[in-house]
Amino acid sequence: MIEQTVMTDNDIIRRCQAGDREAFRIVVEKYQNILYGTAYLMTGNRTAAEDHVQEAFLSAWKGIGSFRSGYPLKPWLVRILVNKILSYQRANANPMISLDTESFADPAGDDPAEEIAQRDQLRRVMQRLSNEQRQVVLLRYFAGLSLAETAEALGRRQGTVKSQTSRALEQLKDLIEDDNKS
Amino acid sequence: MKDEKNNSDNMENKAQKFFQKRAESFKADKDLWSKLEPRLDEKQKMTEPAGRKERFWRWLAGPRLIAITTSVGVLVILATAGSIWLTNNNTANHNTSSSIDRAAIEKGLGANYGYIATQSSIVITNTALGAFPVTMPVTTTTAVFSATNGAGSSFTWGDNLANNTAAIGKQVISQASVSLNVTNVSTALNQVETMAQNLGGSVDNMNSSGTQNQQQANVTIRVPANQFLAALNQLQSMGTVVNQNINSQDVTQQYIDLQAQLTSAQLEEQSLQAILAKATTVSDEIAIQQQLTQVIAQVENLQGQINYMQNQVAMSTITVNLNTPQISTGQAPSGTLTVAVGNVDNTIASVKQLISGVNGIVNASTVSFDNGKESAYLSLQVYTANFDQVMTALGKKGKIEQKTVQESGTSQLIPAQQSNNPPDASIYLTLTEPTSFWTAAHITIIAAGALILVVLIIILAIAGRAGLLRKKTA
Repeated sequence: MIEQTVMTDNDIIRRCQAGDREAFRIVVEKYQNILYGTAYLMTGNRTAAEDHVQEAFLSAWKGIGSFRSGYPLKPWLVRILVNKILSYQRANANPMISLDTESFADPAGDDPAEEIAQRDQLRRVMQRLSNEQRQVVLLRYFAGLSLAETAEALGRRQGTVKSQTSRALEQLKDLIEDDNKS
Repeated sequence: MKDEKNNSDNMENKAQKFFQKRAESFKADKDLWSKLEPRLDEKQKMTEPAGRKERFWRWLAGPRLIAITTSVGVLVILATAGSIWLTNNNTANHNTSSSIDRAAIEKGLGANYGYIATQSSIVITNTALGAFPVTMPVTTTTAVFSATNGAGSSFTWGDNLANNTAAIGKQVISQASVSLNVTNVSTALNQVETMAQNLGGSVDNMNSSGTQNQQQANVTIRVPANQFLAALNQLQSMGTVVNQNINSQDVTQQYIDLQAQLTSAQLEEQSLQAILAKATTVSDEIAIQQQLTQVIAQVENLQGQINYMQNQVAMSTITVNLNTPQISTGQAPSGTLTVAVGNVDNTIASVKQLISGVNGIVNASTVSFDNGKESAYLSLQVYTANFDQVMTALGKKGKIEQKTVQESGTSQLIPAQQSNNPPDASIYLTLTEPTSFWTAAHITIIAAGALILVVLIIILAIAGRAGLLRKKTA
């Protein structure tokens, strides 16, 4: 009988901290899609999103030594990514995300029609929101971060994040309800 | 309320479902790892979530740094401006808290006059020929003074000093000494006596000496305080003023103290008298009588002091020195000199030594304090032959701040040792302490500036932490 070992994030982190690249590959593969989606929705640009994800993972690798085990890995990674994107946007003064239909519809260029349709819906949803609301909704529901983690990642107060979230949800109510019914 | 919360939770769940369903449709680059792995050894700047320190420096950079730098700049400018203002104020010896009516003084003084005003006195100097310094006490809101110098120009300001003094209930003893050059000393003596009597005063003391050609007299007159300045005025018109000194002493506090002591002693006297009346034995009577004698003596003594003081306050004393003008073949030189010295008192002593060394005279010396800075005014007379030598020596006492010399015309240089005449060249010397740049006021201004800066930084830091200064990314 083959003994199957289920590695938890903690084990992986410990191995990464010991310099195990294979372990880090597991981290990358596990979180690359969610990071990419977040980056893509924050930048509206495929190449930029890919670059930011790469840079975020590189930073995570360099900084994994200081990561405190016992804490969830995903919020930390998302925080690094958001930090990178926001710094970049601040430095380049292009904080406005253009959610153009074409690139949004098919970022990779070879996606099935259903996925394209879903992303289009997402585009419509995001377009209704201000940039701050988009970031909040993105981290809370798309990346699955908690209220505290979102606030930490965006450098805002929890109260602010909470009110921004509820205002955003109010605006998205009909779209989300429709989607649920379908 | 509960329904609202349920609705909100419900909406959150739906949103979560909505987004997560779509999250799955985002696929990262398939070759991400192969692109990433070779870069893992790259030396890269850490951009993981910034630590507290790093965040602070990042927060400080940019517009905040500009704001803080600007604030520091503004504060430095303010501090410098304050320093300049204070320095100017000190140089001009203007004391804004003083009750001196400067406009009146300046208006009253001719172009040849200069004045040094302090909290307690005004020293007026005339830079013109044969001039005299006048020291005026400042005891009232507006002081009055009217004087005529040898050249005939005059100045006046304010209201009557003595009257005002009385009006505010101040007890001030005014005294003056005036040296006059007159053509005939005997006539002048008579004039002085008549004047004193006309003003309601009297002659206290009089003596005269010398030959017909070279006569000299000293007379002390007492005039009512409210006629003090009028008397001086009239005296000045009798001849050429060589030297004049006015000083006043505010004795209000001493007067009040003496009155209080007197009242207390009188009460004691009364109570002892009452006890004495009730005494039954002879020994008691003797003991009380002894005490009573002491107290009565005390009362009389105090009453005497008070009477004397009242008399001194009511009647001002003026000492007049009358001389026949010296035989002069020309105008003697005169000079004014302002020297900043390390120690005013020591310098005064050395100046006096220097002047006596050349058979000169120190006519007047006034020391005053202004903002804790000591300054002295000395009126010196030396022989013309020694004038240049003395001016040079005085200049070496410290840093010369101002120097003017009125050269002699056709003056005949009389060797000091051969002359029977008094020294004729005048030197008006002002000794000041150098103005230190770092006065308490400067330090206060700078400290206040630093405090404001610290408060500003704290406010910015708090605002920054509260997210108020964060750049809007919308």
